[in-house]
Amino acid sequence: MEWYLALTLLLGVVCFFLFLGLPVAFAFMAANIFGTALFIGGLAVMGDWTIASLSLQSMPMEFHEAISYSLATIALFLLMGEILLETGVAFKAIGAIERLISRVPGRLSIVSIVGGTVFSSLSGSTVANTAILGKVLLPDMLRRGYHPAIAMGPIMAVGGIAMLIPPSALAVLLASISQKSVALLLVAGIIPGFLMAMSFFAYVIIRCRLNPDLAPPFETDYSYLDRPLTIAINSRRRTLWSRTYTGRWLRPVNRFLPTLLYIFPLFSIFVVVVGSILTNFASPTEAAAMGCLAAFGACLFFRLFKNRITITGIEGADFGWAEIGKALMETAKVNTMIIFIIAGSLVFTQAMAVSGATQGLLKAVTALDLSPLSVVLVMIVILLFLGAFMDQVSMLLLTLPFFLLGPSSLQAVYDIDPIWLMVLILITMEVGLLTPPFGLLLFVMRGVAPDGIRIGQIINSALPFILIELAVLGLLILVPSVATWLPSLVK
Amino acid sequence: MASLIDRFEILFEKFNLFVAICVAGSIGLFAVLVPFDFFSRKLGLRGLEWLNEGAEYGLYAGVFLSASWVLYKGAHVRVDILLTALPKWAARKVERAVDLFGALLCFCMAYFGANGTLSAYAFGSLPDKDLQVPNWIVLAVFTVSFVMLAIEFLYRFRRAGQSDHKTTSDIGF
Amino acid sequence: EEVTLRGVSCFPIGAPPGVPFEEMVSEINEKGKGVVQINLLGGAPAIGSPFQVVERMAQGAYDIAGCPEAFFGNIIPEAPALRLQEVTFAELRENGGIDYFQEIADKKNVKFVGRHHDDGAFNLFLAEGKAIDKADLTGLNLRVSPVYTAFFKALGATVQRSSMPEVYTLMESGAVDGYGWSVRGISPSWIPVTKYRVEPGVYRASIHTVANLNKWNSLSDEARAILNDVVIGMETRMEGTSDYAKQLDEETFKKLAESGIETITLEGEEAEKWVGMARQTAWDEFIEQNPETGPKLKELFTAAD
Ligand code: NA
Ligand code: NA
Repeated sequence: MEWYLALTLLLGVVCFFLFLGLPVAFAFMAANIFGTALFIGGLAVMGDWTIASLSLQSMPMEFHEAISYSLATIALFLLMGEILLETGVAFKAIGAIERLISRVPGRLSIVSIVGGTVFSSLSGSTVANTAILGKVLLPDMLRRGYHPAIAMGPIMAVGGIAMLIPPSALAVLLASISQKSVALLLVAGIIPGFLMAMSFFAYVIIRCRLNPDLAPPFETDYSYLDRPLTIAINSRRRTLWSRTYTGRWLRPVNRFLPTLLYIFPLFSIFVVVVGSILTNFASPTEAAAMGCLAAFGACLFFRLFKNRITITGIEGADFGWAEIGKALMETAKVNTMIIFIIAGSLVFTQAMAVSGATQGLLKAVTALDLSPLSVVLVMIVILLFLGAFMDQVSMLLLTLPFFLLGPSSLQAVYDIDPIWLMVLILITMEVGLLTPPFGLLLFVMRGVAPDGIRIGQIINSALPFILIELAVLGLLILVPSVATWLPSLVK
Repeated sequence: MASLIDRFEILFEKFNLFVAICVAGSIGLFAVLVPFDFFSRKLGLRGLEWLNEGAEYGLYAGVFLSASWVLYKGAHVRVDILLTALPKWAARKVERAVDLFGALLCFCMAYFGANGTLSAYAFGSLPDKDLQVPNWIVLAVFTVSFVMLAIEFLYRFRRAGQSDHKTTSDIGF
Repeated sequence: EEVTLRGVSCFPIGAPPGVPFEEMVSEINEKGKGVVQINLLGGAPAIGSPFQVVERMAQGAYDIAGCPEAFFGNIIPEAPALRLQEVTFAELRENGGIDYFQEIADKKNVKFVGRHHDDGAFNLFLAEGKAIDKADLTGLNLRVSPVYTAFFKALGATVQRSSMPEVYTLMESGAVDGYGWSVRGISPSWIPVTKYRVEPGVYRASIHTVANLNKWNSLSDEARAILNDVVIGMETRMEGTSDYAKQLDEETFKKLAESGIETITLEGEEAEKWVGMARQTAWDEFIEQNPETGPKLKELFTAAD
């Protein structure tokens, strides 16, 4: 069979079922049955049913072999964020950030960007990121007369940063499936991630300064700044020790104490996780697991401030085993969803290879005699197109065999820096999170936004941020060292 | 008959939830065992040599067996462009057709899995690992999970036909 | 009349470890004109998992396959004997070792035709700063496959199982300090993360030609003679003690040294301990897994103690 027929047939089966609304993993499985019988089993070439049926019979074992140890890291990175989310610690941290930021145009939008960036460094999940900011900040913003455009856009946009700044479940997936260094990719995402956050920050400030109606300033209640600060240590509801402070440093202390208490312990988790990967002290899996324990430890620490140690203005976390259980259940759900797709699509990748579709397409692209830069642009355009219609995991798995996997992939043939390319792919996927009709974060926002917000408004609010992300992508294409400098220090 | 199907549905969802709780627990256990293994190695102790292979088996079994619970929660990511664009009555028809196809697909997968299980049992085949779980057990897990998925698709098909049906989705990563 | 056999390889077509089988197929097709031909359908993983190639062949999907014994240990648990052999294959054909192995393979409908290729002995490869000078691996965390898990553990290493694609990541992230691999089969991508190679090598990384037994029995004597002739010809040429194999080893050692991998050679007592431990742990494990056939295989496959 001609390679383009095979390609059309295999992709056609996936896309047909995908657009009918069959869950992605099952759309891949439908294609697996066709692909295994026709190509791996050779029915298309030999017309011999024995091999085809034996191939179908041995296909299930491939699903088992597709699940390798490195994929276990994904669950751990998801769990880190879920623990902070379900115990309520993430909410408290955002509250602390809110106190820190005052007198800027679009204050709450800025809070969402800073808070989202902080949470990005603690969570591997873009959805957890968007959901939490949407739940905490959006109702408040709309009540205070923020225009939906400036209220929802930053929340969604900053959600995508979670996949750039480590920990990132998608970065682990991308690097481990394409057999490249997970550690270097995690490190490479840091600078572009913060750069992205700063661009969002600048955009919101400029936009709100030009058009103050977008985010009407409101009088924040600063009375808490003058409240006397009482610290007490309690045991069994009796106060063992207490002190009250009303000195001249009261205002700054009241303002910064929550940050010291919430943000620094959390930030130290990020430092531990990323630091141990950076220094080769631990593998990404080990770092992720320690990150989970550290997050749990931090939550226990914050629980001290619920009853044991009471400080005026500090609420402390209040959670029990039920919340930890919920975090684990959420992790199990998302993890199963992701890995089920991965298992299903690896057989698909094999069918693509043996049918000649992969080689054929690659040869066709190579025959165009493009420069490496144009090849990178072609890859990005393909991913942007797919990203409009597909989820991030599926588009990765569909394109990796051509782009990154093995010695005859475009990356190898054109000798493109794999770390740089993978960062570009991550940013492109981040754009895909916001592009209609299928934009995961658009859906999440629709889920958490109050009634009366239309999907059209959500899409409009995302638009400027899509452009900013594309601009950052352009910068990285022109100046690769933005992505490759930090990993080169590690090497 | 209808009440029997209803009763089985309740029982089946309870079983799914039970499986999911076990899977969630195993993730928690893994988060504890990995650092334990790591630090005991750093201290020059043996560590948990079975952890890598054990985690691979656990991840495999967990993902496949909890897939029908995830389907029940509507959390398998899917593209609903067509469904939201179509008029309601047509969307419902497509939805039901897709559920029926999903069930058929899963029965096919279960059939291949069952064949594979029998052949692996007959050959007594073992994996090339230190932790040797016979292949037929691995394949039996596959078969069971696709039977569960097929049942869940059939229930989805049934629920989608009921008048008070609302599509829910709960996706993301 | 001419018979065409359906052939498959456990390696991707064109990948270095699969090339000897592909060359052998061409040679058979040359010599077997009018009698027997092999139509090479493809290689794993394109045709499916390498671990299932021989199983499917035994069931009749294919007629002949080229695979290392690790890929058919799943259906013939005695297969590891083929890498533990200490006497030459010529001797094994003399002393009844191959006949006894065939008796065992008969039950799984597999014909052992011959060992057509050998990728050399297994060496331990270590990362920068992890050099050893004794047969002692205490304090090292090593990536293992079942081939040498017991051996490394017996010398005090902690071990971590991983698949082949993960070796680079594990070495690069410092998660493991080393790995075992056949000297001629080491992947070029591992060279930047590898600093030392430890001699002496142990066991053999061999690739074998196996066939569907029913199909084999249905072939004419003439066809079988041609197949035997070519496969056993390659088996003899690849014998670890042959000049050809020694020359291949020399070239590999030189190449590794040129890419900056230093050789650590254990000598005297330490070398004896190294080799002795490798031998003892592997055969103990083998006999434990094959209590009935193990002792006899050990007797046939090793030089008398
Ligand atoms: Na992150
Ligand atoms: Na999109």
